[in-house]
Amino acid sequence: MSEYMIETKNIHKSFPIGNKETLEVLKGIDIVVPKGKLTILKGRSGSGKTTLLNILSMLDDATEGTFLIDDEDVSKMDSSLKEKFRRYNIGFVFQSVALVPIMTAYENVDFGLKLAEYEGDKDERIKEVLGIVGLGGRMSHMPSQLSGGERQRVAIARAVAHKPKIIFADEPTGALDTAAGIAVMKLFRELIDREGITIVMTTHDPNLMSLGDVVYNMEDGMCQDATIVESNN
Amino acid sequence: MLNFIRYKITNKKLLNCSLLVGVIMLAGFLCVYPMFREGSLNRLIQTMFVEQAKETREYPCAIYYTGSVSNDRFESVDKICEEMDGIEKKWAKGLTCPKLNSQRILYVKTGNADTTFGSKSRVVSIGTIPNLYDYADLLYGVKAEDAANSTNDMVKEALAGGAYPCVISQSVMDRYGLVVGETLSFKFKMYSGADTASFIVTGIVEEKEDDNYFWHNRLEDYKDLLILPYDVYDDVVRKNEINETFYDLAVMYDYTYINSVNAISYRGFLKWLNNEDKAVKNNFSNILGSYLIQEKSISLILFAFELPIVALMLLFLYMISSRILEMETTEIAMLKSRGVSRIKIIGVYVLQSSIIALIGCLIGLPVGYAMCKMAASTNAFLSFSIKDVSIYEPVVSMILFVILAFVLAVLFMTLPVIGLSKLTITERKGLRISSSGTPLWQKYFFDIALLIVSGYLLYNYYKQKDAMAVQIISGGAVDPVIFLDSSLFILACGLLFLRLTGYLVRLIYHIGKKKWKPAGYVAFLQIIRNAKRQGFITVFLVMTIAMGVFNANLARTVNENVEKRTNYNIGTDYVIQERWILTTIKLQSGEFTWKYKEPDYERFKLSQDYGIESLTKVMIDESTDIKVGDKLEVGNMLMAISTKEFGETAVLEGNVNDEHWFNYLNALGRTPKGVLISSNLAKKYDLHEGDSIHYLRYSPLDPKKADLDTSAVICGIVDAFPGYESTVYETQSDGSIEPRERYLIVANLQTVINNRRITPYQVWMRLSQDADTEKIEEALRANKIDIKSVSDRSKTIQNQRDSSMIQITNGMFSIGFIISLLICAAGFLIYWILTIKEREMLYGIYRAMGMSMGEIVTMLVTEQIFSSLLAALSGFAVGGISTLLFTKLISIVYLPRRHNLPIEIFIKAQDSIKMIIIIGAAFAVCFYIISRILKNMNITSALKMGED
Repeated sequence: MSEYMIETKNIHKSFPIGNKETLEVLKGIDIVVPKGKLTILKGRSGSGKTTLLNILSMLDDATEGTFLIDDEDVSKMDSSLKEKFRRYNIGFVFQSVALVPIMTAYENVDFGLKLAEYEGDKDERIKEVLGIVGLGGRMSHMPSQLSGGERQRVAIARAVAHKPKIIFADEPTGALDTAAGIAVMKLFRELIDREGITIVMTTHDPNLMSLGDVVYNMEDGMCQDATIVESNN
Repeated sequence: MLNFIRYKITNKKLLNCSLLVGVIMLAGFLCVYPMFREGSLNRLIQTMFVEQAKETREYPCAIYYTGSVSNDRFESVDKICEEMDGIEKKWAKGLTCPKLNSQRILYVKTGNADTTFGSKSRVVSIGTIPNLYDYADLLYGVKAEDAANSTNDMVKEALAGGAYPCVISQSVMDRYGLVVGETLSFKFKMYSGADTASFIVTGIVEEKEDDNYFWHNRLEDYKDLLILPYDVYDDVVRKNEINETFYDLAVMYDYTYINSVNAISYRGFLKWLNNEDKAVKNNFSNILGSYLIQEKSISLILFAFELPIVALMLLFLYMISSRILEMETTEIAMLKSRGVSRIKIIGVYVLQSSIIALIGCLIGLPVGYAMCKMAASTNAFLSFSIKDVSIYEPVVSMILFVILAFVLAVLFMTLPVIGLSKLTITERKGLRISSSGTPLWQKYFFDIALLIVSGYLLYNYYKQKDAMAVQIISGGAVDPVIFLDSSLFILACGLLFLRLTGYLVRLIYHIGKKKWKPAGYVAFLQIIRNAKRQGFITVFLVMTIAMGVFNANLARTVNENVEKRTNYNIGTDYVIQERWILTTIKLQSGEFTWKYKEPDYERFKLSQDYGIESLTKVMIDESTDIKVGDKLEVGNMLMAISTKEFGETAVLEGNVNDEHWFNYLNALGRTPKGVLISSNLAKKYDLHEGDSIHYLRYSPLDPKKADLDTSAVICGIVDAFPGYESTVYETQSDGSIEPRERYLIVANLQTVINNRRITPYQVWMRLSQDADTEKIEEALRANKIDIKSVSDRSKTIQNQRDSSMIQITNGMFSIGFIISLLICAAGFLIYWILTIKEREMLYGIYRAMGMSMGEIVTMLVTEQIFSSLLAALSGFAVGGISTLLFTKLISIVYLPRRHNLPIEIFIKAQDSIKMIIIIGAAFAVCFYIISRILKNMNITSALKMGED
C-alpha cells in the first residue's frame, strides 16, 4: 500500500481557444500527495493550480496523463464511476462557500451525509463535526444568518462529515479576511490531526504556506519540486 | 439617465419582453371593455327591435297619432296633409334617425249602408290612402281611379248613376261578403231629406309583400273602410259637410340608427312627446326603457368578467417586476448607500416602466381591437366562428382605457421598488432572511377570511334566487356581485388549497425525513423554504386553472341548457302556424256561431329534397280551463295530437319523465277519450291514472263563453312534454311579474275535433341534419301557405347564442381564459427558467459532490410534482368545487324562468383537455429549456459563478 493518497504522471491539460488552436494550461504534472497531510498548491492566478485541483478531484478530465487516488487509477473511470467516487471518497470546500441557501447548517451537513450514504448515526456525526468547526450552537441557522467565516466552517464540516479519503479545497480562504482565513487553516490542521484526513488545497496567499505539510509551487502550468514544511511534519 | 435605462432594459431582455407582453395584454384586454360593451349594447338594442317585430308582427320603431279635423276647420284634404307634415317635422327634431316611410290614412266614420246584394245593412266608413298603389296590389277588378275604364256593367251603371268609385281590402270583402260591382248607399246625415251617397266597389286590394315599411296600420285593421281616390274623397267630404274627419299618421324610423349613445335621449324625447299630447303614441319607448335597464346590467357584468383577469395580469406584471428587482437589489442598495435619494431611484424605475408601458399600450390598442372582434365571433366557450361582427367597432373611450392601462402598468411595475429603495446594502441582508418565511396571506389567514365572506354571499344569493329570477324576468338589472363572488370564492379556495397542499408537503417531508434520498430531500426543502417566493406562481397557476375550469363549465352549462330548453320549448325542429280564416255564421235563432276553414294540409308535404323527415298536426289551445270536481283551473294548455306522428316528429329526452315518453303516447293512443296530464296538476289534486277530469274551451268569438265541456280519463301523468312549460310569468295589475303554475292536458286530436269543430293547428316538422329551413319556408309560401308564425329551432338557438348576455359570456370567458392561460404559461416559464439559472451554481455543487444528472432531474421532477403539479391539480379541484356551488346559481341570470327541465351542470372533458394540453405544453417547454441548461452545464464553470 502506497504512502501517497495521490500520484500523478505527466498530467497535461489544454483548452481550445478557437482557430483550432489550444492553450496548454498544464504541461506535464508529476506530483504526489501524502496521506494524512495538508498539501498546498500555490501559485499566481493563471498558473494552473485550480485546473490541476479540478482534474485531481475528478471534476474535469486531463488531456493527457494518468493519476492514482489511494492506489486506484481514477483517470480512466467513466463519468458515473467518477460521480460515485466523488460522492463517497471526496469532500469539497469551495472559495464561493457554496452552502445550499435553503438549508440550515445542520441540514447542509445532513445533505452531504445523505449523498455519501453515511451509514453511522447521522445526527451524532452532524453534531460532532459542527462541534469541531465551532458551530455547535448555530446548527439551526440558515447560511444567510451566518458570517462568511462561519459559512466556510459549515462547508468544511459538510466536506469532512462523511469521512472522505481526501478533501479538495479551492482557495478556501479567498473570500475571507485574514483572521477568518487563518482560523480555517487551523481547522484543517485540527481535522488532519483528529480524523487523519488528507487535504489538498490551492491558495495564492503566501502567509498560509507555513500551515501546510507539503507545498507545490506552480508556475506557467508546471509544478516545481515539493517543499516540505518541517515544522508541521 | 436614458442610456442607463436602455442598458437596464437590454440587459434583461427576456424579463422586460415579458413585461411588455403583459402590458400589451393588459391594455388590449382593458380596451375590449368599451368596444365590446358598445357593440353588445348596440346588438342588444337591435335584437330587442327584431324580437318585438317578430312578436307583434309590426314594424317596431314607429310614432303614431290619430287626429281629427272638425267641419268648421276643414278646408281641404291637402290642408290636413299639411298639418301632418308639420307633425312629422316636429317629431323629426327629436329623432335624428332617418324616416323610412310615413303612413297616412284619412277617413270618415259613417253609418249603416245598404248594399245592392242581399240588402244587408253594413257599417262602413270611407277614406283615402295617398299613394295607395305604391304599397298595395290590386287583387281583382280595377283601381277606383280607373273606374271609368271598367268593363264591368254594374260598375259602369253605378258610375253613370253618380256613385263614387272605391276599392276595398280583402278583409272587408271577407267580412261583409262584398264583391266587385256591389254598390253601398247611405246618408251622411240622419234626417230624412238628406242626400244619399252611393259607392261602387271597383276592385279588391291587398298589401304588397315588399311594403317599404308602410303598413304600420294594416288594411285588416280598417274593417269597414271603402277606399276612395284622393280627390274623390276630398270632393265627398267637401260636398257633404261632414262633422269630423279623421286621420291616422304613423311615421316609421330606421331603428338601426338607434344605438347605445342616442337611446337615452330618444327615450327622453318620446316621454316628452307623450306628456305634451297623450294621443301621440309609439311602439318603441318600452324597448328603450327595458334596454336602459339592461344596459346597466351588461356594463356591470362585463366589468365583473374583466376584473379577475385584469387582477391576474397586474399580478403578472408585479411578479415579473419583482423578479427583475430581485436581481437589481444589490444595485439599488449600492445606489442608496452611495447617497442617491430614494425619489431618484424610484424616478429611474418609473421612467423605465413608463417606457415599457407606453410601447405596450400603443401595441395594446390594436391588439384590443382584435381581441374584441375575436370575442364577438365566439359561438360557445372557446368556439370561434365566422360571423358578422361589424357591430363591434372601435370607440373613443378606448383611449381612456389605454391610459388607465398605462397608469396601472406603471404603478404595478414600480410598486416593488418602493420598498426596496428604502434599504441600504446592510439592511438588505435582513430582508433576504425574512423573504424565506410564511407568505403574509397565510400568516394572517386571509384565505379563510375571504372564504367566509364569499360563502356568506353565496348563502344569501341562494336564499334570494327566486326573487332574483323574477327581477331578471321583469327586466331588472342583474347584480354583478354574483359574478365577483365566484371569483372571490375561487381566490379564497385557491389560497386555502395552497395552504393545505403546503401542509401536505410538510407532512410528507417530515414522515420520510430520515429516509429521503438526497434528490427528494433537496426538492422538499426547496418547496417548503421557497413557499413565499414560489407563492406568486402557484397562486397564479391555481387561479388561472380554477377560473378556466369554472368559466368553461359555466359557459358550457349556460349554452347547453339554453339549447336544451329551446329544443324542449319548440318541441321539434320547425313549427309553422298558418293563418286560418274564421267565419261567423248567423243561426236562425239570431245567435252567431263560428267556423274555421281548414287549409289544405297536403301543401305542407314537400318533396324529400327539403329534408322533412316527418310532420304532424299539433293543436294547441292555451286558454283551456280544467275542472277537477268543482274546482276550476283557468288558462291552461291543451295539446291535441296524433300520437304516432307526434312521436315520430317531436323531440323529448327519454329521462325527463318517470318512463320513456313513448309509453305515455302509446297509452294515449290506446285510449281515444283519454288524456295525459301534467304532474303538477296530478299533485295538486291527487289525481291518478283512471281518474276523470273535465276541460273547457272557449268560443273564438267570445273568450268569456265556454262552448265545450269535455270529460276525459287520465291515462298518463307527465313531468315534461314537448312544447309545455309548467310555469308562465304574468304581469300583474301593478306592473309586477309573478310566476303562475300552468297545467297541461294532452288529448287525441281526432277526439278533440270530433267533440267540437276544427280549430287552427300548428304543423310540426322533424328535419334532417342538412335541411335548409329558408328553402322550406320559400317552398311553403310557393304552395300558397299564408304563414302566421314560424319557430325554427336552430335559428332560435343561434339567436340566443348571439344575444348580448350569452355573447358577452362566451366572448369574455374565452378571451379571458386564453389570456390567463398565456400569461400563466409565460409566468411559469419565466419563473422556472430564472430559478434554474439562479440555481446553476447550486447544481454545480450538487454535481461536484457526486450527484448524478439523473438525481438532479429526479429532484426537479419531485419539486415540480409537489409544487406546480399539486397547484395545477388544486386549480382543477377549486374549479370543480366552484362549478358545483356557483354554476346553477349564476345560470339563473341567463335562464331565469322556472322550467320543466331544471338547470343541469354540463362539464365537457374537452375543455379540461384543452387546458391540460396548454399547461402541459408550458411544462414541456420549461423542462426542455431546463434540460438544455443542465446539459450545457459545466461543473467547473458553474462553480466559478459563485466566485464571480
